[in-house]
Amino acid sequence: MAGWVKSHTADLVRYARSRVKDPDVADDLVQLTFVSAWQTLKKFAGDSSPRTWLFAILKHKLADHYRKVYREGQQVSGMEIADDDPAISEFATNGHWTSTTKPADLSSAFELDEKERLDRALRHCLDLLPTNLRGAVEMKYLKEKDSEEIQQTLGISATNYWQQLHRAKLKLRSCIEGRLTRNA
Amino acid sequence: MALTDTLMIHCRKATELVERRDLQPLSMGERAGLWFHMRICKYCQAYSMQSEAIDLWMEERVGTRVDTVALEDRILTRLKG
Repeated sequence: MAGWVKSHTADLVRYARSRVKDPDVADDLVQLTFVSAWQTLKKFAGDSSPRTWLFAILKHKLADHYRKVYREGQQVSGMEIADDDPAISEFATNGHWTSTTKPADLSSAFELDEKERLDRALRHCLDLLPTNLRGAVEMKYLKEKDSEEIQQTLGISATNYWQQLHRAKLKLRSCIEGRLTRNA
Repeated sequence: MALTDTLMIHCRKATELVERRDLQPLSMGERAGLWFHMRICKYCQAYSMQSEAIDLWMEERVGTRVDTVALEDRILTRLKG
């Protein structure tokens, strides 16, 4: 196990830190990953590499973290998002984009020559998301798109989960576009 | 429901379907509505492209490399304890 700690900690930390806002939380999750690996070492059959196994444990830890964060966020915000949530302010009452919220750059899929600038914008905007929305969106990538499992883990309905993802994506998109335009 | 009701979805619905199709198969009506909407709305086309770019980045992102020697020592101490 000592060899694994030396070989894989840096990569696990790198992965975890890109997925949670607080670096200390990321480091704790990596530490917990090794504790779990140590406790369940007998289950490690060797049919995957130690690295793959450790990353699978870390993803579970991240999902646990976001489940907690999500539930705390829900308590703070008080209730689930209603169907006609005014917070989805990107759209006018007729359901179409408003003149100020519509995507500005029609040819751009955020494929920039300057990848670093896009990377910075994305990280910044992701960290600005409200905690429950960040939880919803991170789950999508951790659970490899198993949406039923995500809904069960978060304890929300399918409809509510789509709305959360939709809201998160709208906020991300608009934040990134704003940042790229301002810094152009 | 009339055919026009199925086909004439608004941008809010179209962008929601863009997010949903990735995780759950859409119904025939939803697919038709989205297909039609995407042909007439350049803003939702842009949204769809941007959304895909965000997805790709979210899946592939890795943080910057940091010095983890102190953390490695903490982990080893904890495993021994």
